[in-house]
Amino acid sequence: MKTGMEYKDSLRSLNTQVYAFGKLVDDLVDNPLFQPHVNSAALTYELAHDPVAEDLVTATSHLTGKKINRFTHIHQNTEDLIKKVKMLRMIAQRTGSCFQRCVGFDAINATYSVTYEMDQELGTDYHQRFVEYLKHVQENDIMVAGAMTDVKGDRGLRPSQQKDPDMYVRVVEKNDKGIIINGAKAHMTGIVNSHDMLIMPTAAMKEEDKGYALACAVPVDAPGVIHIFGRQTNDDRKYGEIDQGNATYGIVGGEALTVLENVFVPWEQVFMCGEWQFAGLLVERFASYHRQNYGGCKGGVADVIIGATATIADYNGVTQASHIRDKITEMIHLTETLFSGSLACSSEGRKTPSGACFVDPLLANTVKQNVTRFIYEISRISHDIAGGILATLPSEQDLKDEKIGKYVKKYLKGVEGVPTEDRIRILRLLENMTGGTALAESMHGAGSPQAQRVMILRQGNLEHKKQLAKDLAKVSKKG
Amino acid sequence: MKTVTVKYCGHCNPHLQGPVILEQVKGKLPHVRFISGASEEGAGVLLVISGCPVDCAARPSGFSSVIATAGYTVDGRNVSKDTLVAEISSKLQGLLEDS
Repeated sequence: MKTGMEYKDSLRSLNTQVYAFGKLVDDLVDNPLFQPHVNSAALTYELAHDPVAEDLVTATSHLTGKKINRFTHIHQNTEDLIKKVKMLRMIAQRTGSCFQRCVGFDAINATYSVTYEMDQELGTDYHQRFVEYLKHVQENDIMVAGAMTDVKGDRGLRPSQQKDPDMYVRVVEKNDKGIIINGAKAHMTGIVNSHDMLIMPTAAMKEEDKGYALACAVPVDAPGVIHIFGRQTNDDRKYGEIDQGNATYGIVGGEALTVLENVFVPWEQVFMCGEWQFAGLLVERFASYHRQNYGGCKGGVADVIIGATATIADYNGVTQASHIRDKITEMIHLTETLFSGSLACSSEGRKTPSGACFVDPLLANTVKQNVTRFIYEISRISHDIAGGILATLPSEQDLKDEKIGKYVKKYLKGVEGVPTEDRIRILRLLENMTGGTALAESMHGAGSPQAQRVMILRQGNLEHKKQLAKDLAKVSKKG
Repeated sequence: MKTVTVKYCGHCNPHLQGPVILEQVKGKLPHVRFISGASEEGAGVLLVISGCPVDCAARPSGFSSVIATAGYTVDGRNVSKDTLVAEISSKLQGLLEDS
């Protein structure tokens, strides 16, 4: 298992083509724009060597029997699923931010089980190829970015109906050595500081879309791969410290648009190529695993928001006010409700034919749906308690200015005994964690709300509920 | 010098900080060596420190004696914040003398 430092060094040896603000980045690991995201991901490596955390962050490989980082593990039982959720909450409590590695974790688990079932039904040999790839991932502690969301062009048209055929990642050529692919993947969390990406189809496919039914692993620095880093709210603050709020780990995962221009993929790393019948299953497996996470990681992020809110109440001298205590109680209630949902979908997990354990998809989609609401509500309450100063704080430069700094310190002071700078630091943490890009991540990460509602209705067993009502009401069978 | 192996749960929502508790136990048992990070088979005395009463830490096999601290409980019995360290230390002392 790599340490955090070994992970950072491994990134330095890559030739990843990352663009930000129109320029090619040549110092990714040490560049303030990316450093917090690298630090966050590095913690997933470092904690595997921490005695306090290792029970959650490590697992035993079912392929080799070796101790591995859990982010490269295939869930063998519901205990693994539960430990995943607890691990995510624990790490998020330390980072206060996305640490990116769950996407690839979910991608390997989804691909593992679906390739097995695909081979069983179609006589293909993708699963064994994937197992070999997985051994490489586990042995080398590879950070895999899950690559699902296509750019999609006209959302009213299917992939094969698009005017520009590259709106969904597709196979443009096959030869005896492998395939050539084109297209782009959007919202790629952690991609710029990953080693590989695991490409999956973005939606269920019909036969006419089979050129888009594609799953494969590609190094992030493969020839033809270009990453265009996404802007984040307040990203120019990354060149300072206090105003960033969370200078070490950042606010979100660090997302990018990844362009694939005639990228070669050897057959050994192709895990679906035209089997359109299984594209939907792969999407459903990945999405459910990924939605399982959010009561864990966003629960941990919410723990930090609650802590910051309670601290600012202390600093403002209002902790004992009954309405403040009630609002903090509501924040805790919402957070633990999210955590409960993630634990529930894990406890109700079941074995797939491959032996890998899968979450309950109805409950997993339910928890993610709640995240799209509760994190906003938790953030709203935190703004209520923090007060308007959250939006009108002077800058770090003003605080430190020789001439006007004394006024900032004098007039922005709260209770006696707490330095003004501490009050500003907590407010900046809260501001950054509860607005802009950080908030939108809760809405759309792991799929937008409507995607969950589609699956909730599909899995919701509505006919059974109707029958319950009819039986009690003694409605005739015909009714 | 007798040795105790320490295993933590992972501390996802801890009611107490395991490493802090361990430091206090070490203070009461200066003649004992504590090693942590065990996940494989071991021997002797195992001290499990879970952050909350769920007590979800995996138990490595092979240990002759196990003391499980889970939040403010020791081997399933509630203890107060003030007596937790003394309770763990006393139990460890007894096991080490017997071993």
